[in-house]
Amino acid sequence: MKLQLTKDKTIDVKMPWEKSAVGGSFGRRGPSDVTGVFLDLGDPRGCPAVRLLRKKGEIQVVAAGFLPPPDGSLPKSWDDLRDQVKWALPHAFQSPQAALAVYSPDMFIRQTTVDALTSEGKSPVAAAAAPAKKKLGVRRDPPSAAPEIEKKSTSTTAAPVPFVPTSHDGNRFVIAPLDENPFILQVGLPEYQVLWLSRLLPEGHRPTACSVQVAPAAMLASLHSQPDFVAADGTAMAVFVTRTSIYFAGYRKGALLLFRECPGAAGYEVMRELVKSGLGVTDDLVDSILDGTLIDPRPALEPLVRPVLQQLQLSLDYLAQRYDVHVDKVFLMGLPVGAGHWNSFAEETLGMPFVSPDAFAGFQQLAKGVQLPNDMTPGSSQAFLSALGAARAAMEGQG
Amino acid sequence: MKAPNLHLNLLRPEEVASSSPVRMRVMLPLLSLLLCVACVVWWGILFMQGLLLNSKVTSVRADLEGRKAAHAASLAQMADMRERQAQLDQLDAYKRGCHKYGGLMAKLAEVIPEDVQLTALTIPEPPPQKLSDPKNPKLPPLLGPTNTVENVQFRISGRTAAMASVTALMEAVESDAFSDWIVVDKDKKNSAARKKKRINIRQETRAGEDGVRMLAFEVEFRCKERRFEK
Repeated sequence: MKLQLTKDKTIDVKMPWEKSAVGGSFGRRGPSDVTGVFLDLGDPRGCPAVRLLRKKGEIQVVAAGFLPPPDGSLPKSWDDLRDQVKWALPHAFQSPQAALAVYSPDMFIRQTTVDALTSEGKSPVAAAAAPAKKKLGVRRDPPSAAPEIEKKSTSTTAAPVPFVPTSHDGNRFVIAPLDENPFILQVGLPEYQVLWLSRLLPEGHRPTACSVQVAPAAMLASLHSQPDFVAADGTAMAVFVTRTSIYFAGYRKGALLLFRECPGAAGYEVMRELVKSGLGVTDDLVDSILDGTLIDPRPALEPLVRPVLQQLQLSLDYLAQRYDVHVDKVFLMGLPVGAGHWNSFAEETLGMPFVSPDAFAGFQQLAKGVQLPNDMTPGSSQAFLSALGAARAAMEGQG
Repeated sequence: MKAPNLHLNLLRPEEVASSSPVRMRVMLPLLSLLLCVACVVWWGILFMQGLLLNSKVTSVRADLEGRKAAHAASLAQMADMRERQAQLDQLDAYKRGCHKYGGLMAKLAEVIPEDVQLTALTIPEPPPQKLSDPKNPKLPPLLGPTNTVENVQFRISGRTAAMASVTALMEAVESDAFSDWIVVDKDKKNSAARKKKRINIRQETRAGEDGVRMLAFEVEFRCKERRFEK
C-alpha cells in the first residue's frame, strides 16, 4: 500500500493483509520440495523430470528420469479445453508441488521495452505506468496490473520487481526487467494453454502445478546453478539450443542483460536433418556421427553453425560496446549431441571454446539412492535443462 | 554474484491448486453442512424429547383426571370410615359409661328396715347435653356426649315412723356392701363432698289410722360417676 504524504513524497507501507506479489503460500521464497517437468511431447524417451529438495540451504536432486507423457496434447483452441487430461506422476516425483516447463509453438519470449508494449496497446502495462490521480490519502495498487518497472541504470542490486501474470488479447504473459533500462523480457502463452496446464496435475494429488513456464525461460534460470557460471561471477554469454530455436542470453553479474532469438537459425532437429541429408545416413546413426570421430559432420553442420556464431559474435560485440561487458565464457546449453563440433567452430570463429557443462553439474549432492538415467552424459543431461531450471526457479521464488 | 531469480511464472496464485487430499474449499462447506446437520439432529432430538415429555404430561394428566373420581370416592370413604369409627368410639364410650343397678336394688331390699316404706327410687336424668352447635345449626348434631365424665345421683324416697330407721338405712347404704355403686366421702370436713348427699325429711301433716304422723324422707346419694372413655 502506498501512502502519499505530500505531493511529492510517497512511501510504501507493507500491510500484513497484503499478499505477496507472487501470491500463494510460498511468497518470496518458493517451496522446498519441487518436481520440475519439461512437458516435451515430442521426445520419444518421455518427459524429462527432476525432483529437487532444499535441505540445509543446499539443493539436492531427489529423483530424475523420463516420465510417460500425458494422454493428450496441448490444446490448440478454447474448444480443446473441454478434453482436460489428468496426469499422475510416479511416486518418486510426488512432491507437494511441481513446476511445468512447456514448449509450445504458440509461445513467445522476447526482449522488448515498456514503451513498445504500451504502444502495442497492452493496457495493463499502460495502467501500471500511468501516474496516480489521487493527490493525498491511501492508494492501493490494482492487483491485476503489471508491475512498474523501476527506472534504474546499471545496478545489479536494484530492488526485485514482482512478476505478475497478466492476460491480454487471449494471451497470458509475464514480464521481467532486464539489467538495463528500459529493456524487459516478455514471456507468454495462450490463455487456454495456461489453463490446461494448470489443471493437468489434478487437485488433491501430489504434485499440483505451482508454476508454468515456457521452456526457454526455464533454461535461463537453470544457468545460475552452473559452477562455471558462478566462477565467472555471472558474467557470461549463453547459447540455448532447443529443438526448433536458438537463443542468446547475456548476463552481467548473474543478471540478464540481453536476450534474443538467433535470427534465421533453427534448432538441433534441423541440425540432425542436415547431417542425415548431407551424409546420407539413417536416423539411428545421426547421433553417433555427431558425437563420434569416425565421420566428420562439420561440412553438414557448417551451414547451421556458422550463421549462429556470426550472430553470437554480433551479440558479444553489442555487449562489449554498449555495456562494456567483456565475456570470457560462452555456455552452450541444451544441445544433446555434437557439442564438440560446435566447440571447434567456436574456436575458429570466436577464438574461444564453448563451455558445455553437465546439466546436473550445479547439483553435486545427489540424495541417497537416486538413480539418474543410464548412459547419462553431459549431452544427454541437457534434456533435463528445462526441468531443472523450472524447478530451481520455482524454489527460489520471485525476483 | 547476487542476481534476481528469473521465475517467469504464468500461473496466477489463485490457479495454484492444493495437493493436499484434504481440500479446505471442500472440507469447509462439508464441515458447515455437518454442523448444520448436527444442529438439526440435535434440534430434532430435543423436539422428540419435548414431544415425548408432552405426551407423558398429557397421559399423566389424563390419568390424574381418571383417578380424581376414585380419589374423591376414596376420600369420601375415608371420611365415612372416620365418621363410623367416631360413632363406634362414641358407642364404646357409652358402653364403658353404662352402669348396672340391678345388684344395688337386690342389696337394697336386704337392708331396708321394716318400718320404712319406699315410695320412689330415682336416678335422675342427667342435664341435656349440647350436641348441636348453636352457631352453625346446619351441622349434624354430635352423636355422643360432649363431657367425658357425668355425675350420677341415687335418690331414695320413702316414709317411716322413726328417724332412726332412716339413719340405719343411710348407714347401710353407705356401707362397703354398696361400694360398687355408691361413693362415700370419708372426709367429713369436705363441704363439697357433703353436698353430694342431700337429706330431706319432713313430717306429714295428716296422721295415719293409728294416729301417728309419718316422716317423709328423701335421701340422695352420689353414685360412681359415668366415664365415657374409649
